Parts: sequence; C-alpha cells; structure tokens
Amino acid sequence: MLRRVPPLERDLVRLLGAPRVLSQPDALLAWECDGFTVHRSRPRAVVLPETTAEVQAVVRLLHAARVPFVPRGAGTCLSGGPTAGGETVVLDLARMRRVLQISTADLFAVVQPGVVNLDLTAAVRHLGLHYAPDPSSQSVCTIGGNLAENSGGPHCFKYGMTTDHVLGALVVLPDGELARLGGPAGTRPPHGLDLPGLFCGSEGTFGIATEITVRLCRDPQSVRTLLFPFAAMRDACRTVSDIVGAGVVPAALEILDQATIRAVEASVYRAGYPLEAKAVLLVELDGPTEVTAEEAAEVRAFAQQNGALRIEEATDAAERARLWKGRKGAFGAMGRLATDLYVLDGVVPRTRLEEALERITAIGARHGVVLNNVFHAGDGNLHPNISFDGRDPDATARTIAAGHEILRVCVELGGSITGEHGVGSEKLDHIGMMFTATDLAVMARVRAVFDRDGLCNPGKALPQRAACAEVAKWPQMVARVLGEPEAGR
Amino acid sequence: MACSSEPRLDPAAHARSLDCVHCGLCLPTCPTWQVTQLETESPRGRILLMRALAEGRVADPAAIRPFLDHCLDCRACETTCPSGVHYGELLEATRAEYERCAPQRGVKAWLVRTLLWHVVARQPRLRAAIALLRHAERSGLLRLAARLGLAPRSVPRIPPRRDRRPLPTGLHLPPPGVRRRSVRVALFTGCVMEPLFGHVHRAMLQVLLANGFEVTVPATQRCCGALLVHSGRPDRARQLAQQNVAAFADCDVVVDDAAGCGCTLGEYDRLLGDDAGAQFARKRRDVMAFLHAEGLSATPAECRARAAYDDPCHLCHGQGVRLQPRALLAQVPGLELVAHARPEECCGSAGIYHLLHGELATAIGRRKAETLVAADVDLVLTGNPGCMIQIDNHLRALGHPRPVRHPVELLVPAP
Amino acid sequence: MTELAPRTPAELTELLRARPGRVRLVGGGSRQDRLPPRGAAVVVSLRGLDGIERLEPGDQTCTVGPGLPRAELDAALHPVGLELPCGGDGTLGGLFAHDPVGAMTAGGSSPRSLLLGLDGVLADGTPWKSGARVVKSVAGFDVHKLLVGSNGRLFAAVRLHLRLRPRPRAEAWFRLDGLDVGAAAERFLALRSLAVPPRELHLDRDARGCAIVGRFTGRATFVCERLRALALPEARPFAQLHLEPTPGGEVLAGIVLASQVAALLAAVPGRFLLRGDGRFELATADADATDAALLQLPRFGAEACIVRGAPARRGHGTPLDAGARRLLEGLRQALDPDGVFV
Repeated sequence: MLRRVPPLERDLVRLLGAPRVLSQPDALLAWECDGFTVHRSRPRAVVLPETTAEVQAVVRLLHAARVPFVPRGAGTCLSGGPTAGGETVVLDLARMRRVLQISTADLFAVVQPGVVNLDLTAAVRHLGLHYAPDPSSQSVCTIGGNLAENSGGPHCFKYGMTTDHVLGALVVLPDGELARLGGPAGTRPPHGLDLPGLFCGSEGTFGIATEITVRLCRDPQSVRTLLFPFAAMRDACRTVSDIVGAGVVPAALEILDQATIRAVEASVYRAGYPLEAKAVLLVELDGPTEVTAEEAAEVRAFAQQNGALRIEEATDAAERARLWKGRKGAFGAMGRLATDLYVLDGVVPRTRLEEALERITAIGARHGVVLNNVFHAGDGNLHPNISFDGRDPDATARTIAAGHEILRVCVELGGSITGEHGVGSEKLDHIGMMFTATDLAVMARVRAVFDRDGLCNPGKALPQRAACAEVAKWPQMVARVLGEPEAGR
Repeated sequence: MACSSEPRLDPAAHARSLDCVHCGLCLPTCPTWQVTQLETESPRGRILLMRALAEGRVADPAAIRPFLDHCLDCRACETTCPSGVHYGELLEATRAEYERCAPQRGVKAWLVRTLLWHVVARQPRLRAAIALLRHAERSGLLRLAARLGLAPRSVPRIPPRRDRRPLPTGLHLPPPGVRRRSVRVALFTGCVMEPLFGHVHRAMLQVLLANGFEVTVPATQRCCGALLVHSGRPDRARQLAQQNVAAFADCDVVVDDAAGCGCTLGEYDRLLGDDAGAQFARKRRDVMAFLHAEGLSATPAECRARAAYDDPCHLCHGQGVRLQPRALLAQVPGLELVAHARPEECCGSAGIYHLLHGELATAIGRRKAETLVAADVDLVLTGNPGCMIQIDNHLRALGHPRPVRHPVELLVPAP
Repeated sequence: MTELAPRTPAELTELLRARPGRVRLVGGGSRQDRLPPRGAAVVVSLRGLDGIERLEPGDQTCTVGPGLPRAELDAALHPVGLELPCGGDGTLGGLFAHDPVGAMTAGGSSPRSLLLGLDGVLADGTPWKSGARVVKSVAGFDVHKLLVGSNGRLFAAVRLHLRLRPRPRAEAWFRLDGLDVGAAAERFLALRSLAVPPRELHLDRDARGCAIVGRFTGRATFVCERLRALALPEARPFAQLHLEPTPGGEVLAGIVLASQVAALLAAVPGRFLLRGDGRFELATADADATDAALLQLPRFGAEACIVRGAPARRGHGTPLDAGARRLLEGLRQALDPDGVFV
C-alpha cells in the first residue's frame, strides 16, 4: 500500500536515512507507552539519531516546523515521561550507546545518552570502578533516561541519586542550540550556576543531553549482604530505624512485604526468600573489611532484638546476586498477579514508615484492591504496587482512587508524591498536593528559559495552565483506556 | 491487505499478551534488538504490536508483519521475563494467524513453503536434494549461484555420500562386555541432521550403546515439524506430529540430539492438544540431559582442547537445559571448558531464519563469532545443527576458523 | 546605605512587595568582600531568620532559617549525633548561596546534595517553594539547586531543608610537609582515588613548598588503620577555608581536574589552596598576574573567577560556554525580571 509521505518525514529521512526514520502508523504502536501503561499514545514518528550533530539537525528541523518532540531512552520510565502525544516526534536515543571517555585518574566517564546503566559499570569493572546509581531496571535503562528522571535505586541511601553523580552534560536545547552544562571538573565554576543540578530530573523537558559526564566510584573493599525475614512488617521497620539511629550508613536498606515475596518466588527471579515471612529486610554494607565486619555485627544484633526469624548472609558474589535477584525482579514479577500494574512512588519521612504502611493497607482494603509493598526503607521511599485488570473499568477506577489517596497520605506525613519515578503524565493531578500554583508557575518560568516555544516533551512534569488537549488528566486517561466517551463531553 | 479476513489473535493469546507489564528487562537479551536497537525489533515492542493486532488497532497488519517475522523465536526473553510471559506461544499463534489470512507471497516464500513441506519433511526427497547440492558444491555451481544471489551464502558444506547414510533402523544392542542398563532408548533422527550431521547421530548411538543402553531407531518417524510451526503452519506440523507419536508409541524414552527438534517434540502437548501429545512430550529427552540424569559409565576419550560451550536457544531457553552438557563435558579428560560472553544469546541461525533474513542473521552471527574469538578457544561445542552451521560460517568469515562440534561427540569412549 | 533585617518570611515578603528599589541580600555579611559591588539602594540582611524550625534526628533532616549561623546548627546537631557534612562558615544561607565547600563523602562531594529544598521569595515578594523536606523527591524541577552560587541574585531563601548525616565516631588529621609540586600532586591524586578517600583533603602550596593536609573519619578501627597503612603523620586540624590577597594582589577561585594540578602549578605562580572536590583558590601578585593566569587556566580544563581584589574586577573569570551563559542570563531574567536583586 502506498502512503503519502508528508514533507516533515521526508526531511527527516533526508537527515538520517530511511531505516532510522519510522513513520508507518502501525509500527509506531511499539512506542505507544513506557512502564506506565495506563497512558498510551502513538507518536507521529520515531527517529534514531546517532550523534550530537544529528540530534541537533533533527531538533532544528522540528523547531523550525514547530513540531513537538520527546527524547526517549529505554522506555522503562514508570510515569509516562517519554510517552509521546499524537503530534510528537520521538527521538529514540537507543543507538547513542558509546562510552566516549573513561578517566581513571579523575574518576569520571563521558557517555552518550543511550548507554545502558549496567553496561557503563561493565565497561569500567576491570578498572575496579562502578557507576553507583542502580535503578532496578539497570540492565536496560539508559544513562540519558536516568539523567532526565534523576533516577534512584536501592543504593541511594548511601550514595545519593543520579543528580549526585552527574558532573556535566552537553545539551541540545529545544531550539537546536548547544549548551555545555558543568563538566568533569565540577558542576559549576564559582561564577556560574549549578546547571547540571537543575537539568537533572527535568524529565526530558529542558532539552536533549547527548554527552553526559558522570562520576565513577571505586569498588568497595568488601560488601556484605544480609537478609532478615520477620514475622511482622513492624519489626522490619524498627530494625531499619535502629540501624540508622546507631549511625550506621548501609549501602542499601530494602524491605519486601509478603505479597511481593510470594510473587517474586513464583517468578524466574526466585531468590529463596521465605514465603512464610511477613517482610524481608535486605541490608547491604560496603566499605573497608574491618568496618563492614563491625557494622554487620551491629546490624545482626538489631535484627535479632527485633525478632528476625533467621539471618542469611551472602558469602560470595553469586550468593549476593541471588539475594538481590528477587528485589531487582520484583516489579516485573507483579505482572503475574494481574494484567496491569500501577507502581506508586511515594516518600515519607523514615520515622513515619510504620504509620504510612498501616494507612496504605487500610486504603487498599477500603478500595478492595490487590496491593503490595516493596520499598527503599532507608530513604522512606515506598513503592505500593496495585495489581489490577485494566479491562475492568471498575477495578481501574478503584486503583486510581486508592493511588490518589496513598499519595495524599505521603504528602500529609511530610513526604513527596514521587521519590524517583518522576511526575511525567501520571502525576500531573497529584503535583498540586505538594506545590501551589505559584510554585508551579516559578518552575514553568524556569522551563521556558530552556524551551521558550514549549516544544520539548510538552504536557509533562508540570500541569499546563490552559485545558490543553495534550494534558493527560486522569479521568480522561481512564476514559480513553476504557474506550468510553470522556467525562463532561 | 489482500486477504479474506484480517489476522486477529484468539482471546487466549491476547490474554497472554496482557501479562507483559512493559518492564523492558527482555530488551538486552534480544538478539534482534541488540543489533538494531529498534523497539519494533524487541520482545516488548512485538508484544505491544501483537496486542494491538488482537485488539483490532492495527490498520495495516502487513506493515508490522516484517517485525514479527524478524523474531528468531530464540526465547531468550522468556528466560529473563519476571512476569512469565509465554512469548513463544504468542508469536507462533500470531504467525499462524498471518499465514492463515495472508500467506506470504513471492518466490522466496513459495520456495520456503514448498521446500519445508515437500522436501524437508520427506526424508527420501531431502536426501536426493542434498545429493544434488553436494554435486553443485563440488562443481562450483553453488558458489556461482551464491555470487549471483540465487542461493544463500550460508549453505553448509555437504558431507560425502558415506557420511550421509541414515542410521540403521531397528534395535541396536550394547557391545559384549558392556554392563547393560534396564532402559531402552528410542532415537529421534529428524530431517537435516541425518544427511548433514550423520556423524553426530552415529556418535550419539555409540555413546548410548557404550553406556549400556539398548537403542531403537523407529523406521516410520518423520520430521518434527519445528520449521513449519515457526513459519506459521501448525496444521501441517500437526500431521507430522501425529505420525511421530504413532512411530514412538511403544517406546519409553525418546532421545534427540538437535535442540530445535527437541523443543518442538517437547511441546507436542500444546501442538496436538491431546493426551497422546502430552504423553509423548513427557517421555522425550535431550541426549545430554538424559545422559546427565542417568550418569556416564563409559569414560569419554581424551580430548586436549580449550573449548567453549555455546547454549542453543532451544536447549537453554526452550528446555531449561544449561548445566547438564557442561557437567558432562567436565568429565572429558583433557578438555578445558572456558566461559565466553553471552553464551545464551542466539547465534542468528534459528531454523531457516538465516536463509530468510540474511542481513540480521549475519549481524547476529558476527556478534556471536566475535565473542567466541575473544574467548580464545580452539573448539566450539553446541548441540543444534543450525547453530553449528551458523557459528562455523561466521568464525570462517572472521578469519578464525575453529572446529564446531556437538558435545555428544566428545562423550564417545576411546576405542 | 539602609540595612533592613526582617525577622520573619512574611516581613521579607512585605518589604519586597513595597518595591524598595535595588536590593542586595546578605546573610551575616562575611562574604561581601568576595562579591562585586552593584550599587544597591537597600541591603536586606536575612540574619534575623535564624531559627531551627524543625530537627528530626530519626529522619536525619532539618529545616532552618537562612540567617542561622553554621556554628549554632553544629551545636544543635552535636547532642543528637548528627552533622551537616560540608565545609563553610557564616550563616547557612550565605554558605549555600556563595560557594559551599564539599566533603568527600559517599553521597556526593557537592554540598548541593544536602539542600533538599527551600522556601523562597521572589524579587516581587512572591513566596514559592521547591524540593521537599524528605531525603528523596523528584517532584517538580530542582529550582532550589539554583541557590548554590547565586550570591543572592536570583531569589531570597527563607527556609532551607537540609539533609544531615551521622557524625563519624572518630576522626584523625594528617599532614605531609615539604613536598615538591610533582610529589604533592601525585599524593593528592592517590588519596583522592582511594575507595574511601579522606573526608577532607587539601593541597597547600606556599613559598616554602607544598603540603598535603587531610582528615579521615569513620570508625576508630578504620581511622587508625588508615593513617598507619598510608604512613601519614597525625597533625592538628586545618581550618583555612579561603586565601587572603597579598597587598596589591588578587585571589582567584576555581575548579580543576586533579590530574591537571601538577601541570597547572608548574604554569602559574602564587599561593595555591586546593580541596579534594577540585575547588581551588590562587593568590596572585597583581592584576596582570591574574589576567595571565586566567588565560592559562583553560589549557588545564580549569575555570575560575576573581573573588578578591579591586571590587570592579571581582566576578570576572574564564569565559563561560556560550550556551550556558545564555541559560544563566535567561534564568536571571526569568526569576528576577526587573533586576531587583543585585
């Protein structure tokens, strides 16, 4: 069947060649969503640039034609960040996956945005180095996506988020101009501002980073991974409080609840977590051998005081990988419980964890949803996961209602609606729980400095003032998914 | 699209597609994604496409067909999927639906269909064809044809006539002096293995006999049907499966030495959907898994070599057989087994895939050969004919030819 | 010049709404000699906003007013076993708004990591906020990161949400004297690259030669073992944060890659103080020497600007990337369109 190729697509093909421009509408369905599958929208076209110059050429072309665009990494975002509106062109950066420079003296690497998080660590492993932020999707998610979302991961408690590991970026601004933010020597000179800090977490709305400078960390001398099953969630939380209160800073403090344990153990990621435990606590200590030995003794004592059912400690890398396997595969394993999954990402002050979990459980019960929890306990970053059948309008509505209430509880307790997944299109309705219209207006002004014409990933991260058709409001989204006429029309 | 009805997935297949939560962990394990970085060439992307097809959201099903055809069906994604999506089932159901509504057109497709059904699945014709190929190869005709683009460049070297003779059918008994075991084993000999890798079959027979097993080779067995299933013709595959079920009806254990065939034989329960199929699926074993479970009683002959074992997809992902071949090879005196990168990644052979999608298969094959060369081995071991041919070809293409052998060959005891 | 010192955020809002003309925001005023003069009509000091509004030892976070002296926060944190792991003195607002000095801790060497969020007031008196009070949040853009290095020219911060860390159980200072430039740079690089580097590290070059000074922190066993294993002599604490200019001289502040330090030191003369995070100060003999150094620095991947010297010359430095400069000007325009904060 012959298709008329519109002039824009023709120009894109002229820039990149036909194999790197996809515009056949049915093929574009493969890009219709990220890990937040409730919101689906097919882009206008997908292009796969390979160099900064190509990104610049594409962006200039789109900017001149006033066509919106969105950069995309591996599509593992959980908040709809890279999901493109119907008129939007996706710049899929998967082919920009070269590590450009590694400095062992100054401990940094310069990478293209499509470099997979774990591939960067693999590239420097033989030098005794690693890249610290480790989202659970690290085997597939990209450094460019991590930068856009300010991704976290289990090891944030000690090592910080992506923003603490990004030194600089070469950015193609939404009008096609280049800007070099920060650099290997630091994020800002004394007569500059912390532009990398501002850019990190801008969810693809400030421009497209094509070269990213990140810190590399020396591998610790020793790593100890301990697993403690508990008969009650409360005991696991109290152990965490005791550990942190004693001034021990573990590399990671993770808790999985019973429902999560059972889902994981039924999957290919089974790690041997005890099915009868109401919670398991995973503690990782790293550092000098004599230090981790002392800390491990303290941690074991705290766990025992709080009634740990048993203690498991990994003695080698393979054992450690096994203990972590279940945690890293937890999200995907939820797919076994129902057809759809809504992953929440609320944060509460750590001292309010117990209270938050109780209230979340009550909310789940009230709405009759299947809910389980896996979370970064050290950071108070909760991931309540609601499994539901997206084909059932009632179940979807209850899921959304429960999610809304859970995030409200997080904010009430002094926390945040998102710790590491971003606002994207998913939390546009929730961000008002944390910020006033004025706060959001200040953020919008800052965004306009980067993207005056509002072309770069429009309708994400900040709610737009006018009732723009592209703004994905929850009720409309649900209606779209369910194929019902939208409310109020 | 020129067809009477649009391809639509049945509700069961659609429901299976819903298990995917789009986590993306499958991407790095997918060979076609690794060489293209295209979402449409990834398991996650293909699932979205198949799902959209099932939901009637695809305007032009022909437009997305190439992406589904490009899949190697290597099942690496199933191994890594935390949600347990049965991707292979989904893909095969979709391909069958495409083939039903809109059979592939063109000379290549016609040739494939004709060859698979009228030649490959019929042993005498296949043998005649292979003899012809041997002549073409000897006379240089084949090289000429390849150069003219009339024949693929990846055609395997055809062994001489005496190596192409089939295994004698009927009962074989262990040689005198060998302690017999109480298990009688029936061998599945397949289609291309016989004429192209007859020496592997003979090695398998020899190893089984030397280890004290009685062996039968049923005369009425046929091709397993794998290639037909993969190209969307389960109906024809079913005919073959029924004949095989009948041919092996009296046997307790069916053993095979080609991972691709083994995987399909093990899925006869699903293909046939009846008790006979399920019974057959339960009694079949891969030869390495079988020997590992029973234990070797005859010490293999010494083999001084530094070797890499590469997992055939349909053995590791399809049958979950990973440790057994390695454990058996560890018993070969003198053999040093070394690890190489990504042993479970497909080599790009995938049945007749390398004949249909030469460019992708070549990129994937080169990747595989490069990792093997990097491991600096002088012998490569893998348990599937297609993989043996593909790896051999690409090692040659890189200028690093190495012997590529089936692991069972190394289990033959010293004479 | 009038100096006003509001005691509450509301008073500051009111004050700014009254459009007092050009305003210079100051904390305790200790860093004013490092900034260019801008001809302000009014000096507004935030030293009255000096409360510890919230201190949650269990969560290891706190909320403070920008006028709170660093020393007072340290005193409050000591009994609960916590600390703010970065260098710098004066008020906390001034510390973050000027050029805070990082600690070489696992969670990032940039003190901006400690700034979780803030409540601010724009030049027109509009109150707003960014970030959160918890240790992890990616809701909204991180506009609060712009406080760092803004020198009070973008907005006023009226509340800072800070991340705290457990105070180390033990610490030990060490000092190596009389090194030549090559040996000092090499030692500096090696110490900085340790899996657990010294919490503080300084390279100090003066007329007599180079010294390496630093501090290991952590468990007692570790700290003692480190000094012994690395053959580092124990020493008194080192507290010098900044260089003073020599008569007629100037001081440059900048950043440099550790691997370039030896070459840089060979190329530019003068007292030089380098920290583990790559921040340095260089004292030059006069304006000409400064200009010569500013021409040299980019060769070593270093960036710097004048912080001490003739008031009109302060703030001048190595050229910024054109795209970054465009963004800096845009941000100033966006947050303070009338140029109230000078």
